[in-house]
Amino acid sequence: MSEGGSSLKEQFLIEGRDLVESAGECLLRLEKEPDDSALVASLFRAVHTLKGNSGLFPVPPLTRVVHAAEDVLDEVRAGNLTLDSEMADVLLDALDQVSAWLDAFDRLDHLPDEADEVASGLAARLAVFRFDADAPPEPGDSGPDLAADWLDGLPAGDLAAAETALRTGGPVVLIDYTPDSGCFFRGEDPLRFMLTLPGRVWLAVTATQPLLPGPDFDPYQAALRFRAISTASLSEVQTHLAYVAAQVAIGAQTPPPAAPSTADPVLRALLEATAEALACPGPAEAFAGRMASTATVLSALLPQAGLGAEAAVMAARDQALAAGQATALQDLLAAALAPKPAPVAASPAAADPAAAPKAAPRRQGVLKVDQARIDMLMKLAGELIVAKNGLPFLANRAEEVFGSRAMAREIRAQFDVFNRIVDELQTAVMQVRMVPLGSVFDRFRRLVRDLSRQVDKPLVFVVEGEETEADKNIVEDLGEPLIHLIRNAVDHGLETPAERRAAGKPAEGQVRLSARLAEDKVVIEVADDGRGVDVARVRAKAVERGLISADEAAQMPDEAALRLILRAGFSTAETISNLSGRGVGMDVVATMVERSGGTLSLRSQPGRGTTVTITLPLSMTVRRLMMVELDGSQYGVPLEMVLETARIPQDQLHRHLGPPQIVRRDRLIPLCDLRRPLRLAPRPQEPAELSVLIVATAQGEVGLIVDAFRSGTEVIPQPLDGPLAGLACLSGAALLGDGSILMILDLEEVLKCPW
Amino acid sequence: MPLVIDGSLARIEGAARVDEAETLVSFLETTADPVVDLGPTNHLHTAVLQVLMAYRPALATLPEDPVLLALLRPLLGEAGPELNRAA
Amino acid sequence: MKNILLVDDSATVLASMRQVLERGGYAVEACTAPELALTRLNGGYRPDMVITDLNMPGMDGIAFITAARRLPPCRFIPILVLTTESGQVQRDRAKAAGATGWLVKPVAPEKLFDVLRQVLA
Repeated sequence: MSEGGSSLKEQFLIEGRDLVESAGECLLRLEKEPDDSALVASLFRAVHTLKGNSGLFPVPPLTRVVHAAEDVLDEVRAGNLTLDSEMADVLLDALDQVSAWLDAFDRLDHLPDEADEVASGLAARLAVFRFDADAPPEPGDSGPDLAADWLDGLPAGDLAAAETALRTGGPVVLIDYTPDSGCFFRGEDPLRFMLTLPGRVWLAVTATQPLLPGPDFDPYQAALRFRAISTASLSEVQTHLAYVAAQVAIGAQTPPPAAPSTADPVLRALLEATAEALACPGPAEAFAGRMASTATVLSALLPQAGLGAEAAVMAARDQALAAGQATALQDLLAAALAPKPAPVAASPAAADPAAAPKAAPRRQGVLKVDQARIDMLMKLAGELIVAKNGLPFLANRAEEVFGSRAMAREIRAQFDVFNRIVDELQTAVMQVRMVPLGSVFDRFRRLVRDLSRQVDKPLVFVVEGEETEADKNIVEDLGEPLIHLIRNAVDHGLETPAERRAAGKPAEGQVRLSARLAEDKVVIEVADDGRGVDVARVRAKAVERGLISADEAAQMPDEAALRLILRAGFSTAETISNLSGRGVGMDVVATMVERSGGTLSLRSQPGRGTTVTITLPLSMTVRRLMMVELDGSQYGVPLEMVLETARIPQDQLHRHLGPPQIVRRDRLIPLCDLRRPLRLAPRPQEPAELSVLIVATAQGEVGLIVDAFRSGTEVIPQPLDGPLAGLACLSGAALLGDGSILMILDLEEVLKCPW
Repeated sequence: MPLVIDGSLARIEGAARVDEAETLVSFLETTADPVVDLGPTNHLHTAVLQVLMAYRPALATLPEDPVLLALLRPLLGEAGPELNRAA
Repeated sequence: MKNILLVDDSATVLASMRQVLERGGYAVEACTAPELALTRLNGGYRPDMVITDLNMPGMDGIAFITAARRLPPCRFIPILVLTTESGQVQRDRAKAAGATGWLVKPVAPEKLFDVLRQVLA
């Protein structure tokens, strides 16, 4: 692989990971339905394709493992073996290893040093399953032996020429080729096969039946016979005619000479590989190491093959080290190998094996179209939306500045047309980016299986609505939060089988992962039928952690108390288990969901279980914002967080301790003057009526005091760069239709600042 | 198209393809005193070779390509008066 | 320039074959599914040769060859199938369905060009 090699590698890695994943899913399903032959077929196909692809790259141990897996699966496919959980375990181990190797190959361009050994181990474990029924011998390439009278029926002139060719002295191969009558319909051109025959010294063509011109003559019924003599080796001729072997009889007049020992294909392959490795440029600091290991390989190979002494190899190594060039070793290799080595990739580098994180969700190319192109399309559609939103500004100017109401009306009518088309365009582009949630759900089957075994809680994992589609980025961002939620459900949510029996529930717990569409949102639920959240304990813990006061805890309705577990640093589990441990709690999950523009809610019933609901926009590329004005600038607040806008007279504020509060629907809501966390200048004078934007946050409802409300809008957020990139309270910026810049607030972050 | 038909002369330029066997047959069937020119030919698909072997048309010239020539001479060499005249 | 139609559900195989073939001076059309390839062939695209995988989801290579051979312009086109080194049974089935020959995966460039010289006029 030279130019284009890296993109090919990327392609291989993306596809390889997809294949490993789909093979894993098939395996897990097969454990439940071992007789599903369609599943077996797709499992086999995934492994088979992986093997084929891997052969293109310098990853022989990986190829070996998938090859061994393919062999076993072939037997399963043929019905000679049944896939049991033992076999599934080994196959899953093999897939895990392959996955780790793909990661290693991604980082290092080669596999870790111990890969060979690991591959042998896995291959051996896989081989155990194989039926050791004697495989039927492969049918040979050569046709039936040539009868002694193969020259019969030839014209005298041909016979004489054949005799001459046969008397050349050396060994010759005799070929008798009668193409079958339908051979043209397989794309065969027998004459071409014969004319390109290696070592051809004689060729005769005869008809197998009289060729009679006339209306009945069919040029596409082959009726010829070819006889030829070649001085090439039998195997060369056989290889050349392999495609038509069934139609050819081949005979050797004298046995071909035995292959010389120097042409041992294995030795040759090894030497060639060494030469290729030497020819590769490598980092200068690794030069001495490379020369030394090359010399070790050569001193093992060459003396055994009688191609050189160990001393010669060592001398060449020393020469190479002294010269700082591999030339001496290369010359030695070239002498052993007749053809010169070709450059091929594989540069030795400091190995960093192990460290492959397990089951980490990866960004994968699920779309088989170049994603950059779709992203570009999406971006252009987004810009069109922004440009379209400029028309109402224009209409206002037409009316206000130029006093033409008629023109303003026409512009607005035009705007409606644009609106419709752009909407449709946007929908169409978003459709392309839609992928089924199944692509992320499927990888959880394995996770749940492993978790259930690890904590010894047998359970049923129900997946629903896998076909529900959402934007690719949203789907990918879902992976990590869902892993946490599922881990929580299995680890904390479900009781042990004994506890469940004692509570009169079936010993087997249930974890349900479901997805459905609700208008323009996708709703994902992770539900367990476990013990439910102990709200009293949540309150106690929150007080203990100093998150709220005991008074607040007592007054808090259950629903709000439940949301306390979403606060940073909260964990209800007495001990941090090795499953959901690692200090990651629900707060992280909530943050991740919100970052994708979604919301998270909780429901729990003691003894009945807990349900976590994630609601996400179908697409996050276009965001709906509520615009507000602060200190002369415009800011955007995600519309999905806005509950209501209100004008509150100063005298309705409750000023006790801490920030002022207002009462809405019998509840106290704290007010935050947005100018303060954003460190804007204080308002010159307090207005008589405050403009308050009431938003739902992870901390509950908050009223945001702004200078003025503006309209809602749709924008394509652009990430911030430069000095603004470091500001956590801004999630991005967008260009408005009138050319001004809108800063988009990340309210969760904003509210973390003192106010 | 390697098969060029000009009145009663069909010339095969370069490599005759398999589907030209049909065209050649219809040319040979429908043309009075057809002549085939193999001078510029460097390959004949087996199906085309078969047509020539069946119809044995008069040949204007034999191929220049020595391999093809060696193959065709014994097959078509004594084909017809046209070739003998030319040769 | 000779046109070659590649059919394989593996994007990796398609990319690597395309790279090799294009460097060898062939024009390449790649399809990730046989159904797509048939649509192209039905739509008048006429390659000089077809190279197809056998193991594919949906329509498999054998069914694809059978269907392609039924299209009059594809009666005589050389069709090569991609097989594994141990795929003798598959090769025989492919030949019976109308394949011209096979290539063993992974395909070495020299071998590929050898075969093309032999099969492609």
